[in-house]
Amino acid sequence: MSRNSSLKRWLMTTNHKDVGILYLVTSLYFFIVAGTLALLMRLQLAVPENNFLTAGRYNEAVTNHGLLMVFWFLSPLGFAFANYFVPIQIGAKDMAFPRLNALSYWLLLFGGLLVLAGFFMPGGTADFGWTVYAPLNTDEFTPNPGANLVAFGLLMLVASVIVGTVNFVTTIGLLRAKGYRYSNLPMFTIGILITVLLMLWAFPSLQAGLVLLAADRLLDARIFSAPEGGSILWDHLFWFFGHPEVYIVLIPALGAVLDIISVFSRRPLYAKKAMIASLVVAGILSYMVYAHHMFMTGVKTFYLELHSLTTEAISVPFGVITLLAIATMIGGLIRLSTPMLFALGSISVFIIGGITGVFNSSIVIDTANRGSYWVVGHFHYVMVGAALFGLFGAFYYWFPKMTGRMYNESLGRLHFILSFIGFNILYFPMFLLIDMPRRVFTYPEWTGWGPLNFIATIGGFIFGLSHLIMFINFLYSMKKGPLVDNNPWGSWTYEWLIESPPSEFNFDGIPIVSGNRLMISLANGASHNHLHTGDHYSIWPFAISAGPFLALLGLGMMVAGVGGGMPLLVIGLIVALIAVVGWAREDYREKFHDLEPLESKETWPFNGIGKYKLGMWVFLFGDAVFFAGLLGSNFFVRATNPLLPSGPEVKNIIVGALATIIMIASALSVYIAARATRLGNQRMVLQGLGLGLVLAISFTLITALDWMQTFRQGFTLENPAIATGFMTVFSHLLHLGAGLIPLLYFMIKIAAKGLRDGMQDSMDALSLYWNFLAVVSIGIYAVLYLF
Amino acid sequence: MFHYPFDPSSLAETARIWWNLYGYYLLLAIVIGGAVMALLVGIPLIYRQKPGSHNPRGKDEISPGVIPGERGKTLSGLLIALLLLGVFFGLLTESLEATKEFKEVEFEGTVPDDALVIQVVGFQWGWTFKYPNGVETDVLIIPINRMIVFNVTSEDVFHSFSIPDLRVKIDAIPGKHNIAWTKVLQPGTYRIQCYELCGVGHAEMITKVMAVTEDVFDFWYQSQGTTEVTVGSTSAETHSAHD
Ligand code: HEM
Ligand SMILES: [Cu+2]
Ligand SMILES: [Cu+2]
Repeated sequence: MSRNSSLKRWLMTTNHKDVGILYLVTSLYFFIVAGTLALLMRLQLAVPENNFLTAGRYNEAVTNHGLLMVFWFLSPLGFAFANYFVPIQIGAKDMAFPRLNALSYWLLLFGGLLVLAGFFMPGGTADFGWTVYAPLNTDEFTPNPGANLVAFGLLMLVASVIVGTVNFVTTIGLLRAKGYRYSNLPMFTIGILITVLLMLWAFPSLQAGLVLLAADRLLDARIFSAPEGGSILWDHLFWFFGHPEVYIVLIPALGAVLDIISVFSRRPLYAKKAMIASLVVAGILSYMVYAHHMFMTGVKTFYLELHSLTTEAISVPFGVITLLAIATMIGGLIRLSTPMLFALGSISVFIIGGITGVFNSSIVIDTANRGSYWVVGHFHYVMVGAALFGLFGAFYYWFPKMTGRMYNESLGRLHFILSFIGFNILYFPMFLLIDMPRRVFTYPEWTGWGPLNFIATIGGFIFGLSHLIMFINFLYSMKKGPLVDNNPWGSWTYEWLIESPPSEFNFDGIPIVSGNRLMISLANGASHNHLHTGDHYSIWPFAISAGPFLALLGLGMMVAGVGGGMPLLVIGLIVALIAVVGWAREDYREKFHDLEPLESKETWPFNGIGKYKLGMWVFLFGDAVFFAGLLGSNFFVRATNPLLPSGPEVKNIIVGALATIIMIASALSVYIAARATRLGNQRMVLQGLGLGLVLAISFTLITALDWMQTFRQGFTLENPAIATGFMTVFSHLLHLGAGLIPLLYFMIKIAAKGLRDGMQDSMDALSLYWNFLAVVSIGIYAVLYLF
Repeated sequence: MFHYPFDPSSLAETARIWWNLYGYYLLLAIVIGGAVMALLVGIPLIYRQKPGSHNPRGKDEISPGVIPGERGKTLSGLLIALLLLGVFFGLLTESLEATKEFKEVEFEGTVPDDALVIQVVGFQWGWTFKYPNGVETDVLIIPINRMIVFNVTSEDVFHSFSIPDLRVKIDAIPGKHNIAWTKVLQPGTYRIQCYELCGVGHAEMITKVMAVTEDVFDFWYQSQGTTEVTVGSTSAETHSAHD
């Protein structure tokens, strides 16, 4: 494959480094967009009673700035480096699922484009804040059609994240160089592993919230605008996701910062195991602190106090990491090059962000802080400060590896100094503006907030413009910078042992860890390399994301009353359909079949588990949270409003039991088919799959009839118990329908070509999926019918 | 310029409770933050590579392709954790103590007999205050030295009812009645503002509370809210008596 820069390469690549570069460029693009919105807001706020932006425009700017910065800039920037460097750092030639990797990227990009498209809808875009609080988020209070596109964009983002998560866990789980133990991995890779595990449980909660929101906005349901508990339900769903999300944004940067500190002071990390343990503890605790965002909501005080306690507890592991990072430098030989300056800058603002966070953890003190500029200062110190500085440091650190050339050190330091000073001028005044509410487009002069805001705006421009220095530096050095050798920093990790930039499959031989040495065994490298020819291009990841993009854009335009929506919707659906078939038909797996046999890798603790099966397990762990979120919502709305009908009042218990039993039988049939694959009994495989198919369709029909009966009884989606139940069942059926595609595909393939080697793993994955759906149907029966 | 009263404890009971706790946090934040910051800046300066210095300490432990050795005791992490836990435990007990006082009304669910209970309704975009005798206003008038209980709800979307100078804040949520209270100690006029994004009018959801002496309040209250009330020399525009 020629490594040229043709359009074809960038549209069809599945190589992890190319995908990494796509992530990088895309995230920086969104940084510029969201940064521009930020500067517009700062201009508006510079003086009191300003008329530069109207309230509506300001609210749109604040909302999209927050969403784009968090989801389309910071997180993807971390994952740009993760895509590029995690496979290399663990000694792998690519990700476990290269095609899925490209898919994550395209879903992310198209999701972001949907959000941007929202700006062009007549009637405006989302303006309810990045927290999307209910019931302001419903179409009753925010009819803006652009808001639908923003919600769709977020759904595509969630899909991107879930696909990426499955891929990273499987890759790190199965593709480490032989002998490479988890605790020996560089902090960056460990950080990414912890990050994706956090994502796995956090994002489905947002997904559940968005699905219910879609029902409210498009199907006239009244879940979040229900007077009883609607808004609190959103709070729970959002913040269960939202708090872990801030660590999801932070930890990749923190991992890179720790590695940089170690390399630039030439010292191993001090008590690295304690650092890892701290990250794990913080990760687990992060799901139990979220109610600190709800201190003023009047939720049960006991619940709030509990979360106040856990919030103080969670600052302990971060304190430990900070102090150990400082201890690492003692006795070192420290070089204050640009990456190190950014790393230290990141830690220093993280300390301020963390300490101000402790203030917020107290219910009483938070009474002053909640909803004020103090909070804006606090989270920018953590997200802009700690995360952005850390990741930009990582960018400088890895730049010579990615390009083979060195950036200009003086310009790098100038960038650091200006951005660090600008940053503090921008955000420190916000701690003093503790009585100014956030998300106000202007303020009266008598409040006296003018001067501090003016200072902040000046800082904002210094900070914002300082990044131009980095862009110029990199663009110039990419082409003209001095050539460097493979390891300019004297680092120890795998990426520095190979050429700059790395070759297509990173390693000429087989990476092996022996004792404490990272090696690349050339034993049969030549013959191994031989297999790596042929191109690994695929257009389907692009097409599979472009289809839904067009369809959702069309749908959004239809709702907005813009012409041309309908044809777009139809075209999008057709593209999606063709793409799914194309993806399935592409005989891709064989192309990659021998890239890296699992026997040559370190797979503990997943020894003997195929990658499809492991990937499926990971996916289902996340999906379980999604269904728990939906069923939990149903439970919640009924618990807060006893007037809503219970299961037996709405549903026929007998019919439900019948449907559930049929679903279980369907799962059993598919399970038998998977067992039969192992035995090589082709007939039994086909029978099992066939029976599974028929039973699944029967289940769908019975469920559909049952719901028609419910609606005929006069229940509508205006009833939140019905609406949440309906969306749960609807999601379940969608899952089932999506599962029918691979099921049919296997039936056709096996009938035509017989059983093949390697089919076992994917059949196991299918059976796992079907069993999961059966378990969910039991859950649905218990909550919607019996309870 | 610094408008917000740094020490508001003389204004209201709630502000006093807040200030007592805030003092602890601020002190610890400055001491701990300052110490850590000093280490963070000091250590790199002390151990900086001097020009021409070639690894004088012989501690160049990072070398290409070699997994760095275990360094430092894992236990030291635990030690730091315990230390920090101790500090936070102190803070937490203080905080819970203060919370108890702060949320007294909510905890006990009982309101002292002499308390004045005011229904606060947020709407897009403004506030309505309803008094027990049926008076409805859009400017809050309350007596000093008396327990005031706010029963807060919303007609439409999420708002947040706040009197920042007095450290009163509670969300106004449709379908939900939340309780907040205060006891003002000095006559004055203070800003009331919404602290949760509630649509395009959010920034203008401002009104004021006038805390007046018991006599003035009674007079106003008996007249069914028909008389004009002023607080000393403070007019509506200068929102606070304490800046
Ligand atoms: C890594 C970069 C950044 C991230 C992750 C980030 C994140 C956020 C988030 C999540 C919000 C809250 C949005 C909401 O209230 O719905 C926000 C608000 C805001 N940000 Fe940023 N931001 C970043 C950079 C910046 C920069 C560079 C500036 C200024 C030049 C800035 C200025 C603002 C302003 C003015 C607000 C609105 C505050 C308000 O009205 O409540 N941000 N940001
Ligand atoms: Cu949080
Ligand atoms: Cu508001």
